[in-house]
Formats: sequence, structure tokens, C-alpha cells
Amino acid sequence: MSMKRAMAILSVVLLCGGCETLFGWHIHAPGVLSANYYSLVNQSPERIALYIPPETRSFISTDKGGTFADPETHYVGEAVVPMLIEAFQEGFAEFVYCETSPTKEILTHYGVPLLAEVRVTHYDNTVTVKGQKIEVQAEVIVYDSQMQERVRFRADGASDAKKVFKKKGGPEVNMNAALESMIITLVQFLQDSLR
Amino acid sequence: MKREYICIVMSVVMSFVSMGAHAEDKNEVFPSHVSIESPHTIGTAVYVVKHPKTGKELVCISSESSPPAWASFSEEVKRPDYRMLEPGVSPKDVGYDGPRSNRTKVYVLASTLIATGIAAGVATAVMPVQAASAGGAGAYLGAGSAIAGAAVVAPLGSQKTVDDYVHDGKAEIVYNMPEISESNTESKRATP
Repeated sequence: MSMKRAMAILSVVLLCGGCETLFGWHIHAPGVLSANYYSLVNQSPERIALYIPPETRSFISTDKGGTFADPETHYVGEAVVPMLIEAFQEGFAEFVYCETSPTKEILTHYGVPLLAEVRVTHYDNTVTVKGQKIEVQAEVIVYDSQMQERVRFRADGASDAKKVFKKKGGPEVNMNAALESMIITLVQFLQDSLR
Repeated sequence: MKREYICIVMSVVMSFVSMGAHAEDKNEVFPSHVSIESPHTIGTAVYVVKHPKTGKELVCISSESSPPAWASFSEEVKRPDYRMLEPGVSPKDVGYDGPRSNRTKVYVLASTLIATGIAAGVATAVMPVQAASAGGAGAYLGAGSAIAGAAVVAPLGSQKTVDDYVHDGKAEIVYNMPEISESNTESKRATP
């Protein structure tokens, strides 16, 4: 087979599949909290609803973290939604997940005094020679039953680990750890600000 | 007298049995994805759904016309153990069985390319990337070293470093209503 023909085949393969399909990492975190969360967060007696906007639920980051790194696709939304729900379930005595866009009428109708809207605003992936650092930031807005904004804060979480790509499930667990760090801070801060 | 006494006892027993059955029926009102209330005025309904990962039931307010878009719960997902990010601890040591990236496709591609006689072309394409990133991004390089055998040389693992991890968390307030006392927390968790 001539070199030209071989290169043509390679080009067709790359064009059809795309580099990401061939070499990329599709990172799906387990999407469940570790036992660490349960040791750090105590339950608060409030009744609270959680709303996660659609753009956060479907949030995907394609930040590969370095010029020469492989393409990476981080499925942030699919992991953060179940983790946030679990965190609120355990962090508050009465938890309601509001899937529909909340309104004053809905909150007053169901007697929900507080609603937390959580939006992932920043997701940064840094791949270095040594390992990988993932930083995630979320903005939280707490509304009362009249949909009046009560408090707004940002919660950051990061996980910096070495040799993650050498371990099976390493990038997945590293991403899970970053999300969990952010969620722990978020819930603790929220509990403090409601007291 | 004795017959009357037996009748009373039987009726009491039967009433308890029917109460039990009734209670069971009530429980059956609350399975996943079944609406228990439909306030037509605001177009929403309350659902009791199972958490997709843990299976724990929770209350969900969703549109009356469309039930919550959940992946149905099949079995409880094992919690991740971050010790696997520690030095010398492999995922097998902590029994990790969660999701992982599939690198099989890279090897399939390599076999295909080798079979069609263009492995040399791939090697020349991969090598500059390896030289530049020197082991930072694992899949490409790791696969490169495994693919090649003879054609690609991967300079991985030349430097031994102490493997560890750091988890950080920080929160800062942006806006606060006057009656809510201002507070700020910061937590830092690290393992050596």
C-alpha cells in the first residue's frame, strides 16, 4: 500500500470519527457523595427546596486542560445534579427538589419557606505533567417564599491529584472529589447563613 | 355466651386485618413517579421519586404534564473512596467499580492502522506531542506507548514523585439581606 493511500485512509478515519472520538476522554463521575460528606456535614432542621437550572443540569465542559493534552469531555451536569440532591437530602431535615422553574405561587402553595438555586458558573481543568487539578465554582441564590432574594454566595471546590490518568477511574474520581468539595462548602455555608 | 364472645373476638381480629390491608394500600399510593397531588391552578404536581444513585426516596415538584426526567434507579452506586488518589493505592485496593474512561478504542485504532501498514505514519504524528507534554495527559501517551511496541517510545515514569492529593473548598458571600448575619466559612482538607 502506498504511503499516500495510507495517509488518505487515516485522514478519512480522523474526519469521520474525529480526534476526540479516537483519543479523547469521556469523563463521567460516579455522581454520588463519599462517606467523607456524612462525617463533615450535620443535618439542619430547615425546610428547603433546591432548584438547578437546565443549563447546569446539562453542563458539559470540553476544557482539555493543556495545549498538548488529549481532548477531554467532562459531564459535569449529570454528576452534580444527583450529588447536590443527595447533599441537600442529608443536609436538611425537609428537602424538596423543585424540577420545574420555581415561582412565588408554587412556593407559597406548598409552604416552602426557602429555595436555593444552584448554578455552576465556572469549571476549570488543568492537566500538568504531574497530574490534574479540577476547580469548580457555583453560585447559590437563596430566595424566600415570596421569591425575594435573601442571600447570594459563591462556593468553590477543587481537587488536585497526581498520576490520575494512570489509575483506572482516576479522572472520574478526581472530578467527583472536586464537585464534592464544592458541595460540602456550599451546604455548610448555607446552613450557617440560615442560622 | 361463649359463641358471642368468639364472634366479638373474630370481628376485632378481622377489623385489624382489614386495617392492615388498608395501610398497605396507602403505602402503595406512594411509589416512584406517581402523582399524589395535582393543583391545577399552578400546573405542578408532587411526586415521590427515588434518587437515581442511592435509591432514597425524595419529594419532587415537577410539571403536572411531565413527570420528573430521572434515570430510573436500578441499584445503589458504590460510594467513591478518595484513598485511591493516595500514594500507592490502586483503584482495586479500595474496590472501585465506578465509571472509567474506555481506552479500548485507541488500541482498536492502533491495530487497524498497523494492519493497514501505516503505523509509521501514526508514530511520527504522536511523537512530537509526547515530547512536548511529557506524560501530562495520560490517554494519548499511555496508549502511544502501548500501541507502538517498537514504533513509539513513551517517556513516562522517568521521574518518581510522591503521589498525593489536595481537596479545597471556599465560600464567599456576594449579597446578603441585612437581617441575615454575615458569615464566611472556609474549609481546607488535605492529605499529606
